[in-house]
Amino acid sequence: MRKILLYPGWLRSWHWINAILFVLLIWTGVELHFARPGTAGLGFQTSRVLHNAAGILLTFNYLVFILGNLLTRNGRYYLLNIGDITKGMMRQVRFYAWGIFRGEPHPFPHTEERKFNPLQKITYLAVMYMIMPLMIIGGWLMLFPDKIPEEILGVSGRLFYALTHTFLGWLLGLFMMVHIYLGTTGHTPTELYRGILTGWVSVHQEHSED
Amino acid sequence: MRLSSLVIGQVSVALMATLATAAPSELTGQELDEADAACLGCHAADPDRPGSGIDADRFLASVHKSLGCRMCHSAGYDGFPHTATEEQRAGDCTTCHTGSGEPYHFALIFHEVRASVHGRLVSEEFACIECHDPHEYLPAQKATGLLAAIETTNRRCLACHGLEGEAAEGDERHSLAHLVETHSFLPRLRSHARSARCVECHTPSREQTVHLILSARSAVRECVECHTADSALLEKLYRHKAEEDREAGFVNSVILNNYYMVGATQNKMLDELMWGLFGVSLLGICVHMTIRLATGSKRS
Repeated sequence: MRKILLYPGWLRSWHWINAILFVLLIWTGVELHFARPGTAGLGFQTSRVLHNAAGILLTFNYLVFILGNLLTRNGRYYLLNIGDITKGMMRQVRFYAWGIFRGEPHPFPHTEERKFNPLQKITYLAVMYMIMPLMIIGGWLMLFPDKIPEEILGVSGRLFYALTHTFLGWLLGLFMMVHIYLGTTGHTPTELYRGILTGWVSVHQEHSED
Repeated sequence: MRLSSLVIGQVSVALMATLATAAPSELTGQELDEADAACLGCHAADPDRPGSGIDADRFLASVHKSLGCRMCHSAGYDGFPHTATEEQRAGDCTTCHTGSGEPYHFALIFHEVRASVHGRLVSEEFACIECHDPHEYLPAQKATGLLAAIETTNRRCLACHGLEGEAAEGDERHSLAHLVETHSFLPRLRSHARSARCVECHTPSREQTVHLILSARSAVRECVECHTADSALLEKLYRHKAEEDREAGFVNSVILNNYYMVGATQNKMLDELMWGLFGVSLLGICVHMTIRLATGSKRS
């Protein structure tokens, strides 16, 4: 079976650094948000230091992602085909809800020109180009709370950013959980994980539709 | 309780500065009684000399504004120069603040002050006025904004514990530099000092007392004492807030007070909604995985 390099070295490094930082940020974020005296864990002070450090590293890692997508051909995988997006998403949803149980072929298999299915593409676009920048900007402002305006939309600026940061944190945690599970939905449960570890994925041409 | 030497000093300084100090222009009859305005014509603080005289703005914001100067400074202040004797220079706090119920449970307060680090270190002369300047006293529950009440309270602590320049020479333990150094474990010290009273950590945690001042060694150092949903601040700074605010979490209070604190500020609705979403997603994943396993084994 033919294999293609879909995840070059820089992208794999970015992905796994991002994954480690996500885990660390979610862990410490939960400890900070739900802090209780006497509970086991890293503790408030350690969590604060690690959360800040991981947030700063995540910012640099995010810049790597943006630059990588600008300077290499990887960015093209995120381009939306507006005309087909709704139909494509519905096909992918139908696959997850029905076709996958019947052993149907993946509706949007990997090719040199297509790394993501439409549902994946729209989710990654929202996560990487909307939620992540907002999360990072909010995080940096919370590092320098004196720079936050006193009032935003009628409530305390700090409260506004903190609630936004918490909400987006929840969403990213949810994304990560679903992302980890959907990583098992390749032709075999480990196929997609091997892909993001080695960079190479198999091209199942017999199922390719376009 | 007796008049503090501090106020005597302030009055003396103000007298000496009589000719040089003019009443602030904003002190109109609408804001100040005519008689009080006359007093402040001599006794108002000199902007160039912090700590001198009475800060008219703070006095106007204080709980004692409505009393006026002559309520406490009565006999011996009819003419000038004043003829008040040492005993007449100001009234006793307990002249007005009588009774034994909250907040004037003086027996308990007296006991706590004597048992506190202040009680052990200061002289018998130590009195209410050392920490509660009647000219600017603004308890948390009466303040329009908590930050103003916090600032007023902390300024009294800093008057002794934040000495700078010549005043700090020979008294390193009470210098501002020492204060900053011993609090270096607190991130964003300035923000902490603006957002909480010194007594939040320097009195026993989770008790309402603010008079039983602890030694530095016994003070609260665990961040999570305050940075948690059941924040220790609810027993002190926020204890006057409505009970329903506590039950609903910090978020209602913080909206009212334009305030946010990591760990303490939690929007229960958001958290419960997101926990629910997590639970439903996890359940969905488990069901999906089970069906995949079942249908996959059938096919194979």
